[in-house]
Amino acid sequence: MIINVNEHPEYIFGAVGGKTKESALTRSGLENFPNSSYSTGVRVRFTTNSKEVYVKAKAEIIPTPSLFGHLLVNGISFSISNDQTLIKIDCATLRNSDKILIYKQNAITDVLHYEIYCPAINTLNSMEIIVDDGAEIKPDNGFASSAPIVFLGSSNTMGRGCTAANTSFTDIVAKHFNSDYYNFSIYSNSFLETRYIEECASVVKNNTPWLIVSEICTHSTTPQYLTEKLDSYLKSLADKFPDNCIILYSQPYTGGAPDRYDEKMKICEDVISGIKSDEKLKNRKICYISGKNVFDGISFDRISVSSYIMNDYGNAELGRKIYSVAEGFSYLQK
Amino acid sequence: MEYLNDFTQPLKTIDESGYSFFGSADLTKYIYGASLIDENGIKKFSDLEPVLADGKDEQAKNLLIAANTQTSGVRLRFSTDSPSVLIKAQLKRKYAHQKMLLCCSSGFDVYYGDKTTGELTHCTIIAPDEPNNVFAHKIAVKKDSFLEIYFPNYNSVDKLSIGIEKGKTISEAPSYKYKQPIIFYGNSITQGASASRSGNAFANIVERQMKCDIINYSFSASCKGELSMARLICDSSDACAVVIDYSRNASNYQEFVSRYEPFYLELRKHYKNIPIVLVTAFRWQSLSEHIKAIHEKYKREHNLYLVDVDKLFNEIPPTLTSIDSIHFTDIGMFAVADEICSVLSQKL
Repeated sequence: MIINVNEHPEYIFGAVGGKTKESALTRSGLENFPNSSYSTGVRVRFTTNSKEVYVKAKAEIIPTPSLFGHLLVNGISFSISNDQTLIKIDCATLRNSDKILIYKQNAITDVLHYEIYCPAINTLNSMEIIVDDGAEIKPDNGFASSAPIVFLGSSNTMGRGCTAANTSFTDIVAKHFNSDYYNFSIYSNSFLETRYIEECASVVKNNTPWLIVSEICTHSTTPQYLTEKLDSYLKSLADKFPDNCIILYSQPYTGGAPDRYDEKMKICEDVISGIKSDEKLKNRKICYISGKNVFDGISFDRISVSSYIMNDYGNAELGRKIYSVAEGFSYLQK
Repeated sequence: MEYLNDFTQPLKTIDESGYSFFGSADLTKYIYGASLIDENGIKKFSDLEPVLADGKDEQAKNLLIAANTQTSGVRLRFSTDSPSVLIKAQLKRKYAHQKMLLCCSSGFDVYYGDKTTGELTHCTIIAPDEPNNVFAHKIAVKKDSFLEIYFPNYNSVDKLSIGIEKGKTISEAPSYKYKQPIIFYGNSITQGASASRSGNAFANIVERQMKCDIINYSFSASCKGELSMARLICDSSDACAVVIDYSRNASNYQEFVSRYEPFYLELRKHYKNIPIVLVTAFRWQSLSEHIKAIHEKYKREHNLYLVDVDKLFNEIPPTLTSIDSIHFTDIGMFAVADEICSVLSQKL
C-alpha cells in the first residue's frame, strides 16, 4: 500500500501549508523570504503495524555546503520507537536511493511510531510511504498538546553544524516537551525585520503556539544596526504572539573572538531588559538566554564546529538550556 | 577560501609572491600519524600487501586500500614566526559522505597550541563545499603559539603545500608528553564517523587531551582483525598504549570470535607491558559480550582495560550519541575519548 503524503497532508508536520500538493512538504507560506520553500523542520509522522516500511522521497540534489551535514541537504533521517522507547535512529541519502527501507520488523509485528525528518536546506518535492498491503497506518499526532513550538532565526536554528535534523536543538527542545513545532529559520536572517515576525505569525494564526524561540543573530550585524532594530523586532514579536511564552537566545559564544561580540551582547541585554520592564510587557513570559552563558563550563572545542557555529554537542547543550528555561513557564504546570 | 581548478593554478585572492612553499615531502618531520609521506600523497601503511594477501574479497581489498590513504589521525604540527600561513590542498574526493559534515570528511581542522603547556585551542575549520577538491586558504597565526592541523578523516590528501611568509621560519612544535604514540585500530567510527569536524574523531580528542602522539589505523568497513594486520601494526609502530576497536566490521559472529582473541594476543606479544584498551561494539550485544569475556580473561595478568560504550552512553539520550544507531556524534566521540583518557592517564 502506498500513501502519497503530498495528497495526505495529515501525515505532514511542521509544514505551513504550501498552496499546492507539490509544495506540501515545505514552508512555502513564508513567500517573501529566501529559502522559504525549504523543508526545514518538516517531518512525516505515522504509526503502523506494517512488517516492512519503505519511503520514496524526491528532491533536487544540490551541492552540500561544508558546514551542513549531508543529510540536512540531500538526505532524510528517521526514528522508530514503540510506546516506551526509541528502537532505532537511522538516515539515508537521497542521492542514490529511490526506495529506502526505513525498518523491517523481524519477530512480532508491533504498532510502531515513525518520524521521518526532511532535509533542512533543501526542498523535498514528494514522499511516498510504502507499507504492507493490509497494514494499518495512521498519522501520528500524539503530542502532549495541540499547541506547537515556533522557532525563528537564522542558519544556527536551521541546523548548521549538525549532522542530522534530529540533533538540532530545535528537535531536542520539541522532543523534550513532546511538542509539534515549526522551524521558520532562514539562512543569513540577521536583519531583525518586523515583517518576518508578521509573516510567521500570520502563517500559524490558526495553530497558536505555546512557545516561541527566537534566535537573535548577531554575527553579521553591527552594534549600531542591532541598537536600531532589536527593540522594534522584539516588540513586534511580543505583539504578534500576544499569548505566548517567548525565549530569546543570542548567538552562542564564539572562541574565534568575533567582531565586537561583547559589545553586541551588551546591547542585547540592555534592549531585552528594557522590553521586560516595559509597562505593557512586564507580565509577559519572556526569557533571555545570553549566548555568552550558554556553554558556561564547557570548552569551546567540544561545542563548536567553527566560530559561532555549534556542533551536535553545542546543539544538545543549547537545547537543554532552552527547555530548562521553558520548564519554568506556568503553561506547563497547568 | 579560494577554490582552484588545478593545484598549480596561481591564486587570485592571495598574493603568493610573499610566501615560501613547502610540499608534503618537505614537511615529513612535522606530519604525524602516517608512515609514508611524499609528493604523491600520504599513507598509513607504506605496504599493505601482507594484509591484502590474506584472503580478502575484492570489495574489502578496495576499501582497505582506500582507507589506508585517508588521513584520519594525521596531523601537521609546527611552530612558525610567520604571521600567516597558506594551506593549499588537493583532495581526492569532491563530495560529502552521507553520514557526516564535509568538515569531518574533508576538513583541515586548525588549532593553536600553547608553547608552554601544549594545550590546544580550536581556531577554525577549513573544508571545501561540494563539488570542490582543490583549494587554498590563509590562516592567521596567533603570536607565540604553534599550529596543529588535523587532516581530513575520510579523504586522501593527494597534494599539499604550506606557505610561510618569506624570511620567516618553520620549526618543530613542542614535543608530546610521551615518547611513543597511542595506536588505534578500528572501523568507521574510529576513523571519525560521524564527528562534526576532523579534530573531533575520538582518537584525535585523545591526542589533544593526553598530549600524546597517535597513529589511527582505522579502516572503515574493512577492520577485520586479521593476524596479518596485527603483525603489520607491530612492525610499523612503537606504542605507549593501544586501543582496539575491532568488532562490527567482522563478516559474521563466528569470524569475529575466531579472530578477536588471536588478534589481541598477537598485539600483546609485541607490546608486552603497555596498557591496551578494548572498546565494545555500540548496540551490538553479542560482539560486546565476547569483548568483555576477553577482557575478563586477561585483565588480571595483562595491563588490559575495557571501554563499555553502551554503559557509557546509558545516561545520554540515544538520539544524541549517534546519528544512525552506529556512528557517533561529537557527544558520543567525547564520551568515548574522555573514558579512554580516564583509563590511560592513570596508566601512562
